[in-house]
Amino acid sequence: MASSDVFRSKIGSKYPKQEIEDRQLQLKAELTSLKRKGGNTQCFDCGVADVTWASPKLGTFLCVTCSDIHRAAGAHITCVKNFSTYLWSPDEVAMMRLVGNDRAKDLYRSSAPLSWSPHDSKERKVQLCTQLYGNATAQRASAEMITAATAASASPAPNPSQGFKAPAGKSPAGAPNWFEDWSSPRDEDPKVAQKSVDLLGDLLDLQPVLQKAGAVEADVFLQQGYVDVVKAPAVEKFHNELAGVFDNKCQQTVAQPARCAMQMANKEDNDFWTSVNWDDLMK
Amino acid sequence: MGLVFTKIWQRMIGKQDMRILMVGLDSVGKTTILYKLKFDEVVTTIPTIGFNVETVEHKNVSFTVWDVGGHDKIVAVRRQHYHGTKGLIFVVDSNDHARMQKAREELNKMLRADELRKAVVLVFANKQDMPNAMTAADVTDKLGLNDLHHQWFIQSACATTGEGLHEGLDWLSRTLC
Repeated sequence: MASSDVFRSKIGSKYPKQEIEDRQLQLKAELTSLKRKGGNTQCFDCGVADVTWASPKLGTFLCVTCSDIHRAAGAHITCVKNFSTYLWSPDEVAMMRLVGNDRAKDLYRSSAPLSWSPHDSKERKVQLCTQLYGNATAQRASAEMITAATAASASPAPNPSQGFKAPAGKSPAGAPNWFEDWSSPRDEDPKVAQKSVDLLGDLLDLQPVLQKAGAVEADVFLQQGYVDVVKAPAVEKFHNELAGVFDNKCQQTVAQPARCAMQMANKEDNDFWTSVNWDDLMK
Repeated sequence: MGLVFTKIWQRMIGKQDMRILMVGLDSVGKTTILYKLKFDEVVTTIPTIGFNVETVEHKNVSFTVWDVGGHDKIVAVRRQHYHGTKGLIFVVDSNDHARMQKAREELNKMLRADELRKAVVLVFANKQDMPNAMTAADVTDKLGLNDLHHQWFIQSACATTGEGLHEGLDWLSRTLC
């Protein structure tokens, strides 16, 4: 693949494709940790406890059903990405960090607890989605946040071992103390925490392999991978959360095509024809 | 003896098989187009992880349409689907002005592949029902279709109503048969 390939983020920045691929594990790890914070554990629009998708344009975490509503509302209003089959760029991750579901409530819908009920018809949901996010106020709020997130991500790439530091004086007026939140001291040894994040990234990358192997082997793998860090109490807590995530992932009955796609995505090109189980695929 | 004649008859006027690859950026409506063609219904789709494949009968041609997801990581393995593809359907969201340049880059990158050297290209300027949809002429311009060395045709379409879809297949069958 040509190294001059350009990656265009969904909120208007351009990056060398290679850079995006190289930083993917780090970015995905950050997204995974964001997904567990506060309101981000539930779909922003309908409240179900599934946040496998997000709208980088609005900065909200969503479920797969609501992601389809956002797609139907049109690209001029919102756009969506999931956390597994898409590449994420630093500006998009910064947007998710900057907004998130808790802050988004103030930005896009100050009164109602939810955007729509999971039981509404699709037409109704699309109509509500267009009203809620398509109006000038919401679009302006989204655009301001995108500008702030793009500026924040354009500052020198943070060194993971030192945490993310706010560039002095560059924080936009009225923006929350999200840099501080991110870089505030944790109760565990930063080196150990970082190691957990690294391992998490590796494990996420290995997720399709784990799924193929089945939940039991996945759990054993997870234990082995963490055997040297689980002794620290804070990390142990982290590990438990992670184990929960993995259990969920392994137990999800992923549709056959999805599993095949995951395999495809992780195979070398020349390996492909021999690796895919075509009988399974055509069922 | 009757069987022989049947076979000859089928050979002469029977259905032809055609392998078609349908691609485009994510969320442009590829899957919706596929199922509108197949069942004449607007199905509720979820984002395509991997691909969908359906056989669509159109006049005397049987199109095997491979609808390949547009997600970044799936795009990376899309080349596996190129082999034996005579026709390419490239779907564009006419409403997505911000990503036209990205669509153009994707199309050009794909058409550089050796396997697609002889493929004909049908572009669906989809989502014409959206308020700020670009016209087919604008999309032609933005995608730089006039610079292509491939045989191409652009058709404005709206997958949810089905408008333009069969006209597009008409062109494919006329061009490929």
